[in-house]
Amino acid sequence: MNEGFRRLLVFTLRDEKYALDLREVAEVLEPTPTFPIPRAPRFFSGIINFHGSLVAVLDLAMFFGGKPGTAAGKILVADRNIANLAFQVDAVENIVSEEVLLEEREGDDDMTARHLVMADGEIRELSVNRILESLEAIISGEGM
Amino acid sequence: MDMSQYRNLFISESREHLRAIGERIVAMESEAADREKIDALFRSAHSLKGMASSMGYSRIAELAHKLEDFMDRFRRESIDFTADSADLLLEGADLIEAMIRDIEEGLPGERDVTGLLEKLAGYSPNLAADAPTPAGDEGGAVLLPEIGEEQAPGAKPVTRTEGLKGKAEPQQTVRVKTEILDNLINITGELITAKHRLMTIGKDLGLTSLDDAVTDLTRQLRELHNEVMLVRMLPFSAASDRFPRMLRDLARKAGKDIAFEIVGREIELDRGILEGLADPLTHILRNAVDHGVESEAERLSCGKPAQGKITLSVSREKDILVIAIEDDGRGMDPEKLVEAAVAKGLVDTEEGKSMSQREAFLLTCLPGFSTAKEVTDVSGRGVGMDAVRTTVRSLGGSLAIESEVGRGSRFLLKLPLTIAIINVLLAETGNLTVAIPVSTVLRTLEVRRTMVEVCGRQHVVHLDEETLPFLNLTGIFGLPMRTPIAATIPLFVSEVKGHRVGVAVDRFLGQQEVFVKSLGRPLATLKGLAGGAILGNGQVVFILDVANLV
Repeated sequence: MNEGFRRLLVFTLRDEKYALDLREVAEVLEPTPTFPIPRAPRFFSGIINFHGSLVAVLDLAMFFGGKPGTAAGKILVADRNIANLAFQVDAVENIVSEEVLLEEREGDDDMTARHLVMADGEIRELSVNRILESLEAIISGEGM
Repeated sequence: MDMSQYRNLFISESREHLRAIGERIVAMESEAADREKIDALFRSAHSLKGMASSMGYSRIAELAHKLEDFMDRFRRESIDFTADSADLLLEGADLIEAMIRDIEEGLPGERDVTGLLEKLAGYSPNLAADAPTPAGDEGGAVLLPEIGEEQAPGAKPVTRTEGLKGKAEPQQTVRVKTEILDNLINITGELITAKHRLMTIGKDLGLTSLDDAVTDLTRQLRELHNEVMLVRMLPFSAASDRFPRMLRDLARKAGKDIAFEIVGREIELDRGILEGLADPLTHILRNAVDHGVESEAERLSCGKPAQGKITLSVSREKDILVIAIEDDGRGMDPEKLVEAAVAKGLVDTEEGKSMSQREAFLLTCLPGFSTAKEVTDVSGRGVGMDAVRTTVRSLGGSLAIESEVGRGSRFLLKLPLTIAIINVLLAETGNLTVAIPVSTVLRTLEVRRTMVEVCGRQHVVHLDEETLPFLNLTGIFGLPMRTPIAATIPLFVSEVKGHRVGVAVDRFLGQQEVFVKSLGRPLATLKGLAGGAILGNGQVVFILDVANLV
């Protein structure tokens, strides 16, 4: 925050690049044993014990409409002040600063905050809050 | 100078002063407003003014200053402290509170105070007060009787029989952010889990030296745990202090004269329970004022004293908290309640006939028993009671109602002392291990497969004394059923939406204490789950909210 430029955590999902605002990420974990969640939509791979808190792991690939993601990928745990949620992704690439952005556009769907254009390609920046709202809507809609 | 870092301190300290001012004013209406009390009031206003001034909140400082001046008139002119003067002061306090809320939300905290300042300046003890219009928007006004001016001098305020003893500050205290305290509690919970793991490892390895060390550790952890749980305890007054003022305003609005007593405000209870109780208690008290206590005229015609009485008492019986709200009002007629419930199709006539009085009174808690628009003698009491019972249940407690027509009613809430740690029954169902709060388990037993049969569209199970709807947890969770179906089925009996049901599991694993962890977003939205817990072996299990499973 010194230069006023945000830093982004870039990760890959099925060969596409995504990013999260670094401030919204608490920790990056290696694959962790998960426990089943009763009645949860299938795109939740389970729940983990994260330093004493319960965190639900979302299989992002499956959430975006596809087959289950790789179990060998990394787990990005969101800031606990925002949610008890983590994202299962294929791999983490690096951390970039907004400074090196060539261009940015408004997101074109519910989950995307922004489209970012870098020298080596396009990155879709996701919004944790929007994903959360979508999840809550799905869960309460599915409630029996 | 950058004052923003002091803002939070200003907000919390101002609130304390405002609370003290409010309490003192309500007390002064009933007990003689002696010099000492007026001085105390003056000091609180004075402190508020000073703090607001130094923070640059000139509007608040101005209003506090005028309130000070107003209070000074009682000292200098020896005029009586009446309900009207109390109203004005309370209006001022409310307006300051509204401005502080604004500041908390990042707004300037400058509401229009001119109306109130004029009233304060123009106040004369000899005139009956005009029905004032609320100053500013919501949050500024004190409720005043809309009945008419003749009421104003005559209407008596709520009496606080308990009296305001100056709260003796504990010897040494520090302010700690609640976040830090919650973290401490979390860490303690984790230590206990880790200890369980060590115990298991010790047993597996058969190392006595490890066992001994773990025993020592257990003892010390128990001590740490007890101390840390004390941190969660707050006195009941933290929730109840707002009630005298609330009742005073409600009573005045209803044109009733009501004495309100609180017993046991110093009793300590878990912060989570206290927070959960605020709404239910408010509902019940409100109902007592609106529908329980009769009007003065009605009371006199029944030979009752003109002044009604409402008592809120808290006590501890071993490890249960008992809260009672009692009024000496008109009471409820169980027969009329049954009639109303049958008329609404909430119970059938047969059920209604066999109901005990206690069960009849609890009919008021059925959702749909009374709508907000209906305010009759019988059903007016139903408003909000279903929410009350649900909340009490969710805190692991129970609600009972006693009443006698013409004499009054009594609402009895029984609650566990803490909700952070609960006893659960662990059970296996499909690939899941679940935790069922012991407080919701009425019985556990094994039934033979032959005792379960289909009856119409549902399954029922025949127990010795009763036949209950039969549910299967595996089915409820949409998990694959175990095949072949076992000859004996483990079952627990619980209450779902007011009815006893039998719920089958695959296996019971035992009972233990667990530390309740909240699910947070997004899983908290899942129905039927009351949180989670981490077992000694590191396994995460979900705690069932049985009442809401289906």
